[in-house]
Amino acid sequence: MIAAAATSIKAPYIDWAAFSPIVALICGAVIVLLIGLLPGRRVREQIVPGATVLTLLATLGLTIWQWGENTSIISGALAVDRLSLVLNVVFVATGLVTVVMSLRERATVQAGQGEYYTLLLASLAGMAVLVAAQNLVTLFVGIELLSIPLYVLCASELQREKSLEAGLKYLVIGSVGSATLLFGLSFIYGATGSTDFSGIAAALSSKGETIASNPLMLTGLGMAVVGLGFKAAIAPFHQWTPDVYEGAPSPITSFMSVATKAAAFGIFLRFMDVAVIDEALTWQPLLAALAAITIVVGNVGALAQTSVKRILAWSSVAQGGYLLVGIVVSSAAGLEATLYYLVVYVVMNLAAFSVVVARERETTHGDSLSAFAGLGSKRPILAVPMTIAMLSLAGIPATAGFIGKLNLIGASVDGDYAWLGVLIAIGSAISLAYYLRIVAVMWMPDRRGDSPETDRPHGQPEIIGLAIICSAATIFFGIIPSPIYDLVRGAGESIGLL
Amino acid sequence: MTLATSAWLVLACPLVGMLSIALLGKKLSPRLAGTIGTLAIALAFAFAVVTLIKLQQLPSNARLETTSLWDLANVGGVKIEVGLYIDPLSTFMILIVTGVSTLIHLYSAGYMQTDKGYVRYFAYLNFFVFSMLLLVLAGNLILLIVGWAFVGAASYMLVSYWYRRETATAAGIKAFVINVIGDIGLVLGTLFLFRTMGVLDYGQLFSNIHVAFDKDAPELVAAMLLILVGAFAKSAQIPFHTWLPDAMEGPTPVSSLIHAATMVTAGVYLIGRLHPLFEWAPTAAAVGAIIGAITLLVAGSIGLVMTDLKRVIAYSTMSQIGYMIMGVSAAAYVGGFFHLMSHAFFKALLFMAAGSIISAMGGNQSLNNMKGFRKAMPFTFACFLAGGFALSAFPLFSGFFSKDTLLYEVGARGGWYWALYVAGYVGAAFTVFYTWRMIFRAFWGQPCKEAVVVMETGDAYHPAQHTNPHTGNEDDPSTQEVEDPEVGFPGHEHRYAEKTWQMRYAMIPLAILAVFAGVIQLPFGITNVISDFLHPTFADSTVAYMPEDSGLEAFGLILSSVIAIVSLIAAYWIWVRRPGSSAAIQARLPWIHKLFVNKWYFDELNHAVIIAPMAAVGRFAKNTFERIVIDGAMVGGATGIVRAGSSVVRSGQSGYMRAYASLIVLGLIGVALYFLIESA
Amino acid sequence: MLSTYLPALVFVALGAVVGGSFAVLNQVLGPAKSKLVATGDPYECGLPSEVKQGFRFGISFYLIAMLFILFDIEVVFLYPIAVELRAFGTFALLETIVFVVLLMVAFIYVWRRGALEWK
Repeated sequence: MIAAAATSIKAPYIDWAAFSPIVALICGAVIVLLIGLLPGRRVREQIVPGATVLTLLATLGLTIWQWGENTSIISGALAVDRLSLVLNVVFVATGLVTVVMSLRERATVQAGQGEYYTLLLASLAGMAVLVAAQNLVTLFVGIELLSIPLYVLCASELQREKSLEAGLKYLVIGSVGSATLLFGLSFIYGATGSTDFSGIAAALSSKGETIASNPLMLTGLGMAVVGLGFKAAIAPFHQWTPDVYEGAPSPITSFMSVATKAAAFGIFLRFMDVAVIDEALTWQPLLAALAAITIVVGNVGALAQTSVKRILAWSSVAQGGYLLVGIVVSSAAGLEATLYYLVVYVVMNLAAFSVVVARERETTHGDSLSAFAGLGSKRPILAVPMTIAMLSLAGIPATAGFIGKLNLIGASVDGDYAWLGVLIAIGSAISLAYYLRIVAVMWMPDRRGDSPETDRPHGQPEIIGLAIICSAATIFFGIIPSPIYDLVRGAGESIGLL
Repeated sequence: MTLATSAWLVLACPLVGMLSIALLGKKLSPRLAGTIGTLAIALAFAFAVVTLIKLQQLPSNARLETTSLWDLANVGGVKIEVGLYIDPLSTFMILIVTGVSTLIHLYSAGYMQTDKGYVRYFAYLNFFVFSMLLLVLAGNLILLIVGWAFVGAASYMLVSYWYRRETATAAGIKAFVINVIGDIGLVLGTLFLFRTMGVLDYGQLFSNIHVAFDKDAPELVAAMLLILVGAFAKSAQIPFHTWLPDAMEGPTPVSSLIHAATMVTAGVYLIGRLHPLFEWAPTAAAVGAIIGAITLLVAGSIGLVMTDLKRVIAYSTMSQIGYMIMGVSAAAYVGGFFHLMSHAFFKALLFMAAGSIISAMGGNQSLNNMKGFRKAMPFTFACFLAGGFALSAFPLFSGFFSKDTLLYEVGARGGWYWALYVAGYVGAAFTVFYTWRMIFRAFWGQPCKEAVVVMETGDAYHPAQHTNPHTGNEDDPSTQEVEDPEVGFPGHEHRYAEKTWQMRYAMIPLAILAVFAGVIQLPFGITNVISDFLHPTFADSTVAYMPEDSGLEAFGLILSSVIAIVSLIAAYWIWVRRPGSSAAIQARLPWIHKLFVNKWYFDELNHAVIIAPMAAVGRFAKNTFERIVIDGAMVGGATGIVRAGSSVVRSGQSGYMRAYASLIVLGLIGVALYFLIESA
Repeated sequence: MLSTYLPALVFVALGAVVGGSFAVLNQVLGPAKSKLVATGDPYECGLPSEVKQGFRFGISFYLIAMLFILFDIEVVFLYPIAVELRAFGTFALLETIVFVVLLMVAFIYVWRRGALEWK
């Protein structure tokens, strides 16, 4: 019996070329870990980040090499298509930015350079797997590979209590999310008898009614939505976000707020628009309701905060609500609008976080709003990028955020969810209150004169450079958005959406 | 140079000016910044003239060009271009905007010379002109919204320009908030249109509207009403008008440019631009016309009793824009835009002259303290007089012809439009009264101490200490908040027109235009420059185009002249010959005076209807939040979990993992329940 | 049906007999109970069998136990491949090598970081 089974086992064909970006990330993680063991300060502080950057650049190169591919690899476990490739670029870019932000970060010293950067690369590999996943098992592997390094990274500033608390909270709550997701996935497998997205879709469309109204399937779908919603910080599964974002070291917060979000929405898009697209009429109203709740909760929650990282955390919740709108409509236009907004969201959020990181190191006020008081006159080189980022996040015209929201509103109107478009507009109006508050703090001269001195004015040219590059890109894409259109065009088609 | 190129250059000039001033910033000497700013706008005006010439070279049935640089959005059937729509109407507007702006930049260069924020001021002002031109030239509703929002932002920055004054920042915020309400209306209205029609380009909107909607279809009316909300907020129409009088906190040239000549007319432009849509939704158009009529009466009546010089002119602006909104909503396009033009000239002039007086008064703005400036400031007096004659529609001045064309077109539509016609003439009487009340009180009588100082020393009056006229009793500086002259007034040195050539040279052309601009569109078809020029834009109008009813036209002209002259004499009687009679009238009709002085209680109404309920909600949320967090933290355990889990938003942000986890579980139960109910 | 489970039953029975006999023999043949604390416990090393509140054990123990379990479980994966390597072919061999290399890296890391040293 065993022999019979053995002869029937055939090694899956692996398209190494298409798989190469993920392989590069994993190899890089291993190598960086080993380099980190070498003795010497110089090794730790220069060669380890250097090797990380090299890995990321190699990944970028391989991704570009595969540009235009549209295949399934490893027996259909992973898809290499426009959606995953675009997001790979996003991840690599975010990774590079995070490395630069981390160069002078205390956490890297406390946790060990090798460990810190290895975890970063491992998490990126998880993201790359996740957005390419088209099988429930790879989906879960991807999500765990993404999450576990992040739990540790959140706690990597070992001597700060808040950081440890953030890591522990994220671990515990994250496990609840993962468990829910896994539970849901097993239900879906039970109902459809397949772990492949295409198999699930086939089961749903062929058996039609019987499965579509099957409580097992629907409960599973619900749990999967909750699990994915947790990763994407969709309300009411968002509550960990402000606490974790506030506690984690700022470069990691920045990394989580953009890359994790992009990964979660990437798989959300693929799962909803490929595997369970035939159930769209059932889940659309639910996701629409979640999007509405998220927009409201995120924007309202941000209002009375005094920590800039907390404001940005709530803001990222609200932005997630906007992004969800593109998934709700489940059309190519919606997918492309979501992808578009993801790209610009990454750019503008990174601009904001660069300034937060820079300011955190310059003053003793941490990320409190008071660290930004009077920044406009003292350090306009930081205040201008921050202002641009805030205006763009709020969706003011002539910034990339405006175009992104416009696309989402357009897609929502197109997909007969006009009320969500209206809600995006209203949400943006509310969001002005807290985004402009930051702007006001920076530019209004401080009457009491207690704006923080630049206590530790050591130069951080790399972070200032980041802030300038990201904010310039925000403006550039706000005026000339076509490069991003070219980037995302075809993503909907590549996964079979009309 | 092609038509498209020149139009783009009109837009580019102020943008380049703004960027170069803002980027060079402190490296620029203030004088140079002023020169760059003024030259940029003057150049824009030159290109606007080129645009006009190129446009006129086209055959009259093809005077329309669209041009686009690149796509702003091109996803899933939505295609929005960065494109311009160049036709007679937009050309007409850019000529007025750039022309008046050039003069006001020049005026500012003198008036603001000693202000500390001079460079910043010009960057803002150029930004405003750029935004306004973008609004006017935009080729689709999205780009218009962009310009619309920018204009609001520019207005906010300029109203709060003296940001160290708390009253100024409060006024700026008020203006911004009301404008954002309008923006939301505009965006939603646009969405409504887009939902059905799927296009946002003017050309496609206009050609498809008759197919997409039935005439006066409820959805179309709803969309147009929402767009009207945008127009009302920007043009300070009831009930969105309360920000405009407060916006007088900005420097006087700003009031002149933004809050009189250009920005506040954006609503008029919007209605005119979208006239095929409004004509297809007559109900919405009627609402616009009625609101315009109400505004012109209410604002005119408030103007009668205000004692702050700038606020009188502000209410006058509201009232005059009420005429225009009424006009364009009632399809009186020629009259509406003719009045927009002449109003831009004479109102800009009046503000400039008022700025000159306020300078001479050392910052005091109350009419109760001004007296007898006639001899002290003859040039300012002459300009004020020219503007006053035009505003009060005195026969043969520009305002006379424009207001009359407007009312004639409205009246010629017959039916219930007669009510608007009558309202317009009643408003005309108000206009004459408040105009001449200002003039008689400021320029006639025994010179006040400031006027005496000007006459004797040849320099403006400098009070011992500067005060904020918007605090305390406006007549008595000793009750007002004391402030640095840098805070709320352009510097230590006061500039008034007689002593400052830039101010003078800016006012002279406007005075000439205020007096004579009427000749380009005389009644009975004697001259038809404006109606001929705008004809291609409004040729498709089905409702009205320059009626032929010389009897009505003649009646209107006579009525108008009689009102102007009789009211002028009455005003002279009240405020010059019998100075006590206005007080006697006040004593006789105290409730009317009280109603007018309190601005018909609109601020209170807003407070009761909008602000108070919002504040109550806010208080409730705060109290509940406190209770839940404190209780949750103290009681903890099961009740804490339940409360934290069930309370919404921040109140649930307790920091406890168990609370977070339970909310996830609760959410999961909700989601699962939804699906199970769905499957059943 | 039952015959399929017979080996398992035999295994369980054997386990019970061996385990039980050791316990009984220990009781019968071993020296009489000592008063010493250490020898009174079921196991002489490791954690006390009865953990009281406030008890702390060395983190090194915890760490080494964790690492042991990790590597132990990883080795379990090698067994099926070793048994049926011919059927799986070179692909599986390569995969195994990759797996072992990764394990090696982890081991080197743990070793170099000093996690295996008892502190």
